[in-house]
Amino acid sequence: MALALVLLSCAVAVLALLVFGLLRSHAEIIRALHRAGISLEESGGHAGRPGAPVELHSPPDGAAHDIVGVSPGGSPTKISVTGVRGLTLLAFLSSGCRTCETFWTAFAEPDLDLPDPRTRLVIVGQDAPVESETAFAELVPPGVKAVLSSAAWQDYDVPGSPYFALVDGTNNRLVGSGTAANWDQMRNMLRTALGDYLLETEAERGMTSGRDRERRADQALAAAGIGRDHPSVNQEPSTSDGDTPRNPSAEQ
Amino acid sequence: MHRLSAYGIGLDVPTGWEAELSLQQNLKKTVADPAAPGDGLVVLHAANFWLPNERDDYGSEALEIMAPTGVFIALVEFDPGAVGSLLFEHHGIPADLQPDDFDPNALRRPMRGQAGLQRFFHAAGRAFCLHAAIGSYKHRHPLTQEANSILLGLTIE
Repeated sequence: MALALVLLSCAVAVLALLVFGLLRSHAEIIRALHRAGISLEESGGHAGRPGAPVELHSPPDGAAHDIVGVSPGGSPTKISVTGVRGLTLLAFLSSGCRTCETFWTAFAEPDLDLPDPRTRLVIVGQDAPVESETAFAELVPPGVKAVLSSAAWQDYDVPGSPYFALVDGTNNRLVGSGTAANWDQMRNMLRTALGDYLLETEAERGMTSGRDRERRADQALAAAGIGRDHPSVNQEPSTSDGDTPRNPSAEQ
Repeated sequence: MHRLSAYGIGLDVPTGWEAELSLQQNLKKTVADPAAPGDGLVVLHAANFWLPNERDDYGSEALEIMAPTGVFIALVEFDPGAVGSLLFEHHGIPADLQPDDFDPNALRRPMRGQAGLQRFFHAAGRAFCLHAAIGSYKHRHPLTQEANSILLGLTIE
């Protein structure tokens, strides 16, 4: 009886190990598929079903990176994203991702409406063998810049496809990044992010309204203990000598 | 700074510059290993602006969109049999271009304000034509400096 119990316990332990191994292997497969932009959901892809909630966020560091990879024709290439005037919209797509299909179709439209007229679209796939070079090349619409670069996916911390990053090449900063279920949603989010970003950068450069400048000046003066009733604020300008600039021509 | 290297050609590509190394359109083969030389005749394009997708070997389409601040470089390889010819007798990469070497009439398709030049040379037993174009002949001095700076990062094996 004791022997049977020991044998049974051993069998249960072995079965538990097997189940654990299978679950772990399953999780690794799902993670690998996700990295490759393939979802197990019916609609597939990173963004989930059409109409599903979308997301757009600014990255923690906000840094932009140039892209080095291979063109769909197999040519080594460097695409300039930083240090250039204008915006670059990086579209991280895969040939095997079903949610990406709507974006491949949208980008083939001749009158594609980008978030800003100064924007260049660059489609970024992963290196082979994660991405099929042939399938990717067949999907790239004529006239659209495309590159295979897993390094770019890492640089922009891409969780899966489809995924988008809008980069301001003048300031070498990421305007926003995220994903959506279709191009209309994505474009609207990018426009909003761009609007916020432009306001932010203008504020950083001090290009704010006169009222904003007045408020900041008041705050700075108040911090220095100078209020609106301070004698120096309403002092009449001196007309005698001292601080009044002299006209050099008058001395001649 | 990124370095592109393939087909025995290497180029340091600074920030703000774009570049692509490819096989000439009429000689393109299936590329098993783009880093290996000897797959065909090579063409290199580099520019301090966004390169258009479609370009002929001398980059005419790139020149059509080049702004006055633009610099464009095309390195076009010729058949190695041309190495002994008078046209390719100069040895080494010409990385000391002079502003007055640029000529508004030297472009294959003359463009308003632009200027270009061509240099034929051989290096590492290979024959090349260097085609350089600048967006403004008036500003050829700073633009020539910029062209020379990128040519300093060009190597041929």
